Amino acid sequence: MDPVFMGQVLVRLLPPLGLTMLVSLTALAIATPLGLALGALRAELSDKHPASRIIDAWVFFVRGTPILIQIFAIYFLLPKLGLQPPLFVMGVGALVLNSAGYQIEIGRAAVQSVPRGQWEAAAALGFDRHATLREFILPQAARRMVGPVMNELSQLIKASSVLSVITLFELHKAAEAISSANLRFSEVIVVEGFLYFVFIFGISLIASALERRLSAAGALAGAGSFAR
Amino acid sequence: MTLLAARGLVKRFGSFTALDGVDLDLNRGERLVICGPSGSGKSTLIRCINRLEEPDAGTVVVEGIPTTDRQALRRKVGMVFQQFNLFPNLTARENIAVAPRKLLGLSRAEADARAEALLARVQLAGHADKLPSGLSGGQQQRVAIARALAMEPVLMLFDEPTSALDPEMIREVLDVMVELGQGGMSMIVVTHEMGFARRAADRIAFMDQGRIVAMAPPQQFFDAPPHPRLVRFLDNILGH
Ligand SMILES: Nc1ncnc2c1ncn2[C@@H]1O[C@H](COP(=O)(O)OP(=O)(O)OP(=O)(O)O)[C@@H](O)[C@H]1O
Ligand SMILES: [Mg+2]
Repeated sequence: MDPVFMGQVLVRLLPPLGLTMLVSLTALAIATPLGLALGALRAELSDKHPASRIIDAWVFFVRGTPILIQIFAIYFLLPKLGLQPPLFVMGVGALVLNSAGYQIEIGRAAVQSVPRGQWEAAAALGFDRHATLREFILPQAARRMVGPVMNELSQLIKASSVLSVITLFELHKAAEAISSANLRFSEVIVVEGFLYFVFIFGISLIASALERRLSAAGALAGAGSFAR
Repeated sequence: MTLLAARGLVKRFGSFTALDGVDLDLNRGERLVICGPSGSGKSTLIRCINRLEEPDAGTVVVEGIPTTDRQALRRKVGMVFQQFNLFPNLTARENIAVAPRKLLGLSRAEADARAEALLARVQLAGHADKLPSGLSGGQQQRVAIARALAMEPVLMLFDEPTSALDPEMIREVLDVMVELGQGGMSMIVVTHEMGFARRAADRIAFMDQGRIVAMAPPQQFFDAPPHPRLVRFLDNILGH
């Protein structure tokens, strides 16, 4: 291991790390609200509803195929449809396709885990279904989503490394380029891994601070009082 | 004066008939207790009254409320559940204030004042800021009663309100209900608390296999049970 070389690698990997951050966080900002909203919607719709079938097909595809296939699907299919967006947009699109697929399940499971008695209590007071969902079910479901969404977030960042296959010059692609140009692999891998780790660890620190603030604000209080 | 009139109520779950043609009248201010063996259709009956279950046949008319508008009906008919079903993320005060605020358009201050007054009425002044998880079962059920009362219902339905409670907490809930009845509230109470029935009911109905098979004022109900199956039921429940 050559510390000087590793230092150089680190500096050269910072801009691609920036791209990894940008593509991951952009995808997250789209996939999380989209996935959770579709999941909540799915929990409300019958299995036979056309929208349910589309949502289910999405989840089925994402869970049943490697992310590599999903990325290529975007990369090769979009141009066939006459669309030729920039690589960055394709990258974000692929990550949204993947992550929203998982977050649909998170949203749906969270809504469905709120006990039926909560629906009935609100209905008995005179709330309609929509107001019940908004006022009582979603706030309770939201706190059940926090943990799984945090977990999905780190999955998403890791998945962004696979975008190297469509030559998006993110962290992993850049690391590959440096190691093959210099024929030095172990140092580059160590630096690359370190940068991913710092990013993911940093995000998870922010996430748990957020989680704590939510719970201090009472939004997470009372969790489990119905689980007993 | 008739407050509630149910006619020919039928409710099926698949091929099973849970309610098999029930007629029921309730006068304003009347307190009716319903008892009967498990599975006899007691919950189904009162859930058909506020349309938590949609009956397959029959009608329910609550005076002055168009039965076509479920939400309007439910705002005027309060319900208390066996499992309390308080909103776990809301304080006692918020549990009570939320419906008047969102559905009746009260301001936050007005709704909170209403909640505080009701908490005092169910002997829980001073507990307003607690979450349900910080309250005992008996206290939670009293908050649930207050929550239903906050909509100023013309009729209160109770589905085994003390069955999930430890014995030492049953009394405090029943006391609140007795007082409520004495205050003139029309009530239908599904319960096996026969002491409460004797003390607080105007009439007691006995259900079996989806029908009301006997109905009588307490004294007659206990001293001269008007149906052989009721005799057996009372023997079991009173432990003779
Ligand atoms: N949603 C449902 N789906 C299927 N069957 C149901 C449903 N709700 C009630 N039943 C059945 O209908 C019958 C009557 O139920 P109900 O809950 O009204 O009885 P109950 O008299 O309240 O009994 P318990 O004393 O046990 O509460 C029972 O046999 C029950 O299994
Ligand atoms: Mg029941």
